Amino acid sequence: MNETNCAALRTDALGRAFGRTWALRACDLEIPAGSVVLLAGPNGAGKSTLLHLAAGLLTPTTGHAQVLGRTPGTRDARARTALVAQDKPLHPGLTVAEQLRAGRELNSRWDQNAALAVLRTADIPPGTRVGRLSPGLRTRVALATALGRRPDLLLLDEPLADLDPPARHQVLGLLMADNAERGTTIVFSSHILHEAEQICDQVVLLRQGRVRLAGPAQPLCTAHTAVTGRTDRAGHLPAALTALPVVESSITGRQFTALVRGPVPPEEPWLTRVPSLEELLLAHLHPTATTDSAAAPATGRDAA
Amino acid sequence: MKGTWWLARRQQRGLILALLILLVACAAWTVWQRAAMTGALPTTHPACKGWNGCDDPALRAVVERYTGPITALAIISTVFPALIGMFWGAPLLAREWENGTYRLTLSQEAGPLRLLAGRLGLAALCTAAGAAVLAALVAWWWAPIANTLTGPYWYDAAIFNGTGPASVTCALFGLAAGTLAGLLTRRTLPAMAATLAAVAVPRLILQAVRPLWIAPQLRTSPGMTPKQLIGSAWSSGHWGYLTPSGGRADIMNCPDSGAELLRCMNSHGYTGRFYQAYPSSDFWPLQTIEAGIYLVLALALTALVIRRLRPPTATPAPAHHDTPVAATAV
Repeated sequence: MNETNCAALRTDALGRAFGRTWALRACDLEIPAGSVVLLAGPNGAGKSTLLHLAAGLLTPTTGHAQVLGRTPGTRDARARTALVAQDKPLHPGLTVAEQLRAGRELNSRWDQNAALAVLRTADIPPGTRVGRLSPGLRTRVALATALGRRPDLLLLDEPLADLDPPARHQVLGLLMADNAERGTTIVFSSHILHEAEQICDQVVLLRQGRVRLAGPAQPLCTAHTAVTGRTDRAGHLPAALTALPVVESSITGRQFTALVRGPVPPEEPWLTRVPSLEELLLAHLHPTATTDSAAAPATGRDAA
Repeated sequence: MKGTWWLARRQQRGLILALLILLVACAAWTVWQRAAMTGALPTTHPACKGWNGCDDPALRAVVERYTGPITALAIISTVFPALIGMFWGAPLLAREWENGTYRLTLSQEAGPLRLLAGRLGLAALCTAAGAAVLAALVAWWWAPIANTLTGPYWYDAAIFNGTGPASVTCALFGLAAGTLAGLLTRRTLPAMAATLAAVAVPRLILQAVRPLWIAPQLRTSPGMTPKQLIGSAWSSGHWGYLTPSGGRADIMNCPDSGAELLRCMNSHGYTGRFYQAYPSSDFWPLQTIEAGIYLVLALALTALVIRRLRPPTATPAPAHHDTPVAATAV
């Protein structure tokens, strides 16, 4: 397989069950190298499971995954993949400096300066024990141990969750810089869609263990239409709208707003525009959203 | 290996320090007590080995004074494998799951097996060294009054289990059992309980079957000639009378001694008396057998740990996905 052309993450019919519960099933994805991928979905959608499978910490129940053309968990894959799990695991008894030393001792590609650059975004005394750090500082140390490994694929589970807005801005800046300078593929899950959408160029939306939406962000947005208009006399959605593939809709007074797959008929007296990625994801994440996967515009494979 | 070795040393330095404190305390106490003991021993004592040795009151006083302390040290050495398994082996891997750090540790480039090699390797080195020091201290303190009068004998549970090569391999077995229990339960406390059982059960079984490994010596005395002294040998509990046909008869058939005994033996036609015992030189074959058993158990459990931690090795065919895996909980 050609090293430069192979996908950073590729899954074929990937599934993982815990007992009788499927955390992830029938997942087909192809994430091109160098992309920044937002992994969205409600709690329990399978985001962490997908990241753990990609990191080689879980083996698939069905199908298989490849990272950078290699089986996750093999030495080659480990050398080039870094995971920061949701709880930001670090050895609680080590100091910050020792945690970085552990990164150096266990990884041949370790770059101390890359790790220190992350720590410099906050005032973290190197002698502090990792177990005593605040959640925000802990996130930064975890990111430092991951970025210090100079990964080609960086898997981040909720990296923004414990950060205040200025810190989120800093961390997103670091990730973008690494992506720009080294072409690192970044796959990260987040509920903070507003900020996440600013840096991602691909999006994967999971729901109930299945991929609902996947592909480059901009085409996904333009493939949908945000519609605003008047309800019919009875206060319901107009029949012309319900005939369309509506993802999600709401009615306020005599006005409705809706997100529709594809274009709407131009003759209707509605206000239309291209939705933002956040609007698109929120609509698909809404509990009442139609999630018929057959109606999904594209799987990741087709769209990528 | 330097990499994982560094982390192993850093993460186990607290345990190493605790082990050193235990060993230094035991060594200091032994040196002090043994010096006092040898100072109090009467000069005649080398000729007084065995149950039937000279009944020198001065010697008896020393033996009685120091039997308790020596046995106490031997018990520390005997429970050492369980302590190692519970406090060193059980948390060795279980803590990674309790902290969630297995996600960090196992996904590093070094990988699960090199990390295990460093971590378990260092733990095994410390375990073997600690067990060897304790076994040597027991043997050294015990030696001047070994197998004397009513003092501790080589076959007493505390002495046999607390000295010799078997005590070292048993400690390694305890470490391996704790490590595997921690990997399977992923929780330190249940792993400690499982380890205690896993170490105690084989110890009790081996204690019970010890006389079965090798045949005891048969010691016979024809007619009314005095029996050979048992000395430091370990009685098998079988003794009685020899019949003319070479068979054996129950000891309860005749009274203990004197004219009664002679009359009784004559009336039954017994030709002599016998008993079975293990000479003290049997210590070494029995120790070697048990040391081998514990070593095989330790290696087998370590192989299970490796098997369970082993990461995928190559790009598999799509049908090849049910390999055992270290991490199954997200």
